[in-house]
Amino acid sequence: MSRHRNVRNMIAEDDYYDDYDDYDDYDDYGDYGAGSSSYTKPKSGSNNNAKGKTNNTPKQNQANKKQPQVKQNPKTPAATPSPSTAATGTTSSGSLGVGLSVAKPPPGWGNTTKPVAAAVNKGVSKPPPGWGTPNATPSAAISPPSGWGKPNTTAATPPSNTPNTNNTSTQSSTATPNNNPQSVPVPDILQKTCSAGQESQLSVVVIGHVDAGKSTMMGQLLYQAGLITRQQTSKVTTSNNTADSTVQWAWLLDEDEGEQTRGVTMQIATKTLSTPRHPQIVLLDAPGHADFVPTMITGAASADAGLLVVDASSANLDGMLQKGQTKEHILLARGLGVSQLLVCINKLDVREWSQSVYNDIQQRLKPFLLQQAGFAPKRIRFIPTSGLMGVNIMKNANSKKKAPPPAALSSWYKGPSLYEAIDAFMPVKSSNLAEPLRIILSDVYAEGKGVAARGKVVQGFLKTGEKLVVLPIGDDAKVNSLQHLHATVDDKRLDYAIVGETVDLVLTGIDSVRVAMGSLLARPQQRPPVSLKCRAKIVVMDDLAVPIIRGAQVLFHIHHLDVPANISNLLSMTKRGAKQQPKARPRAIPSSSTAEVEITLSDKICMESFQQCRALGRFVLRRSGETIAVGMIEQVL
Amino acid sequence: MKILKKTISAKDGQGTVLLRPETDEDLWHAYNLLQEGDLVRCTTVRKVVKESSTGSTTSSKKRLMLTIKVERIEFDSDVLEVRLSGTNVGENELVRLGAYHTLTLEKHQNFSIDKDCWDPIFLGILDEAANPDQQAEVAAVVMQPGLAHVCLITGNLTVTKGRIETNIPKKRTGSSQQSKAIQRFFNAVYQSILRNVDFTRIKVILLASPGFVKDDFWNFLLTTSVRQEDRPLIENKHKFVLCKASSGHKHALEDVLSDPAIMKQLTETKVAKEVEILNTFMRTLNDDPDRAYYGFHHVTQAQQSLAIESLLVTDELFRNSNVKKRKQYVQLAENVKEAGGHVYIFSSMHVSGQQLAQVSGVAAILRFPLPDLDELEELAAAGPEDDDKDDDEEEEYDPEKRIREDVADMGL
Repeated sequence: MSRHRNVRNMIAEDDYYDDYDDYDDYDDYGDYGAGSSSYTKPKSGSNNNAKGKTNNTPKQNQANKKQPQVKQNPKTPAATPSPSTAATGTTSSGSLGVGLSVAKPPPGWGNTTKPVAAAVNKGVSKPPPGWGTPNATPSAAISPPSGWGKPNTTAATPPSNTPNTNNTSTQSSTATPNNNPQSVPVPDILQKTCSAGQESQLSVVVIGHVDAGKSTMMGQLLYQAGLITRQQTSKVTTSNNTADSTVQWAWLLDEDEGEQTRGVTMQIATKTLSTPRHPQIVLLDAPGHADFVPTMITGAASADAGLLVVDASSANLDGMLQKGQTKEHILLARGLGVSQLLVCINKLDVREWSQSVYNDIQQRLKPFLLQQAGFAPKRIRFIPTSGLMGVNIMKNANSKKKAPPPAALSSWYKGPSLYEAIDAFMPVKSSNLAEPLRIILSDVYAEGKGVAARGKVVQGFLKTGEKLVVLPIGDDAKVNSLQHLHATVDDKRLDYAIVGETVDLVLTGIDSVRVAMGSLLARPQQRPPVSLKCRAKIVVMDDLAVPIIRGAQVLFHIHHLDVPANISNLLSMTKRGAKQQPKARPRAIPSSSTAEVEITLSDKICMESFQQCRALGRFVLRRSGETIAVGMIEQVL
Repeated sequence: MKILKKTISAKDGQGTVLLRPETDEDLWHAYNLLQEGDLVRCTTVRKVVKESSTGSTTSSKKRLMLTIKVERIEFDSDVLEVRLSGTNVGENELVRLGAYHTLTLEKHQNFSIDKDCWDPIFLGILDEAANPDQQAEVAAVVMQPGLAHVCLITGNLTVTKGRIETNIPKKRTGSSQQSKAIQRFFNAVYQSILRNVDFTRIKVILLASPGFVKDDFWNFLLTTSVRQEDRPLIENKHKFVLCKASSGHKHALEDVLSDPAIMKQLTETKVAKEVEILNTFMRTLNDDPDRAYYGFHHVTQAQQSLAIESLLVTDELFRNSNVKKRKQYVQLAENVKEAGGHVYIFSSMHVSGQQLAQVSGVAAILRFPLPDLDELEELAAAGPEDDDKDDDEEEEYDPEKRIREDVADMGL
């Protein structure tokens, strides 16, 4: 009887579907796990689908008919090709699909983090504006961001249908009439940004084994790019005698005293960089030491692209992939949503810029990156560098800063420098801004009257002055001010933060002890589920010391949190590479397999299914300092 | 624990034991000795209401000796008390028969337990409790930036004395926020150690963390203790051992305790042994899965083939309120012992025991591989044996039921 319910159901199904059909990551993930069959489309879709078909089909048509009005295309910027909308409609299967693809919200989570894979799966590497097909459609502004009992279902109804809101509220207890800030459309200024597609922020995490030279390389890059002055570098020299002092490039990032005395990065350093194509890049310099993998996870979880630094100087190249963090970092980054990787083969100066060394490493890494980690071939690039010497970091750098490429290198290498290669990262398309706002806080400290926090907007948009709720605690807080990390942001939208951006916030009306790293900010009407249990698909690492059995005690790492958890149930298991049916209810999950499990946490946290919010649906399981699996949440229980 | 009087019939095991707990450990043993339906006699304080002839009432607190028939048993690990509630069965002029009362077992206070049957497991606990010589006490601090647990480990207990969680901001150019927060965090941990660790009783205090937190904290502790003249810390510096843990969560203690270097120092403690045997089980499960089984059904199957070398059981299963279930486990343990196997009873207060409890609470390492156990299992399940079904924790049944069973088994 109520159109709302139907609309909502349809949407849920459709998203679910869409994610499998058109969007990238899932398939990629499958590769990674070498084709687990537990994840096939029919299975996962079937329940919802059946329900939808029996009950809803007639109503869908209604919804369809509504659609043209809802679209309110007059505002559509030309950049959004309306044919593309139609195209999506046709690609989706059946009458169901056609109806829905219009009504559904652009599955923005699909594109926020994984644009690249999307392009690849479609077999076309289109220019950026093309491949976000259903994205950024202005109609998105009024269509509901996601299904599944979220309060924003009301958004599906044009305002004229207000009588129906009552229905909605009876169906979903959390819904209150008139509750949807998204139905207050996304401000024009953001719409433009969104359609322009250029201004979105790119987060790059720097990974690699300890002492591969990650921080040093970043220090050089920042210096050559002119973000650090000569004076600043003089502060980080080993001795005061300017004549023979060497600059400790890594100290530009390892600012902590302990890091400097120990010569090892211990925490993520967040720096910004601008390149012609990416005016806003956030560089996250992760620690490489095995003890700090949890820290690296927090960095990788908020990154879109990865920069892997490989040490070419060590004689033992074979050992590189067997043990050490190179491999672990690659798999973690991939599992946490990094879809493009730039591999810097560093310290090549020690090997006299030998091309054969360079090629050798490349040959060794490639199969691993492609087959095991499941990167798309086009999304992996290699460059030779020397962070310490500053060679091949930036071509156009001021000649005083730049070290000229030695003849040994320039004789065979004509490719881009590090700076250019970073510039060539695929941009992350700003996805639909109308999705429910989600901000994950990465850093919190008390300052003055309010609480200063740094966080990444993983979904939706935020305006200064908004009242938000801090989860899982549930306290209200007001965003008193908002500061962008980059000065390049358009003046007019200084008060806004959009998806993909990392911003500094000042929250008031809340005590600093109530906000913590890993807290989530959302609008009060659009809370994500806060739960203890979830059903998830996990991809188990190779070489586990001990198999995963029911009840296994693990540490559940999700964005910036680590929570003790146990695997409360083993639902099914497939050996990776084996073309067999998944074994139901296995006794133990061995290495190199994919499995479906239930996980029970010791504390309630915000979780969302991977389909609804990628950043909140990805996690890593670790045990005794060892990464045992990466996974994604299928359903919050 | 002092056993003051022990009258147990050799015929059927019925009898009474009068005990005096003297350490925290003893209270834990008492908790494990008790079962629903036991009669416990102990002094207690009860509010007695008297009604005068005019109808006005006066209430006063009276200290009395009461005997109750136990219905509910609780162990409070925070204050270390055992609370028993049940109905009064002894005659008393102030408390009528059948009235409910809650007894609290405390240190240095005699109590007696009257049981219908003292089975070998109970007698084993009594023996262990009476011979506390093998108990070394260890304190452990596991920490990571912003999170620390201060724990005391005794033979059968791991008690979390302090949990410190603070927010530590990230490093930023030109900001001292972080170092201030770290100092605050260290100070909180320092205070917690000072308050909770009794250095006269503790042999070793483990400082464990990933990365360099432990080293930083150790330096902090050395300088602060000198500055503040905290004698206990200065005098007991040599008792600190720095070691590696994977995180600051409590279960990281397991990593610490499975470190061979640490184990060597703690060979006397029960927990080290437990962790070792549990690790052996896990390794076997990985290397030779046909020699390691868990879940009651699988394990009993293995027992029937006399294949069990080591049986791992949590004491939770012996505290089972369901007498029939408990008997099954006692029987299993006895059978294994008879067949020459070892029985390890894990304390559910230790991280190792908690881990075992997650894995259904019972596990076995076999002498020889039994690859066809899975099949046996299926055959058994195919038969209409209700008993099997009740205890089956394995594949054939729906997961919800399995969980329910587990929960019931654990006596929750």
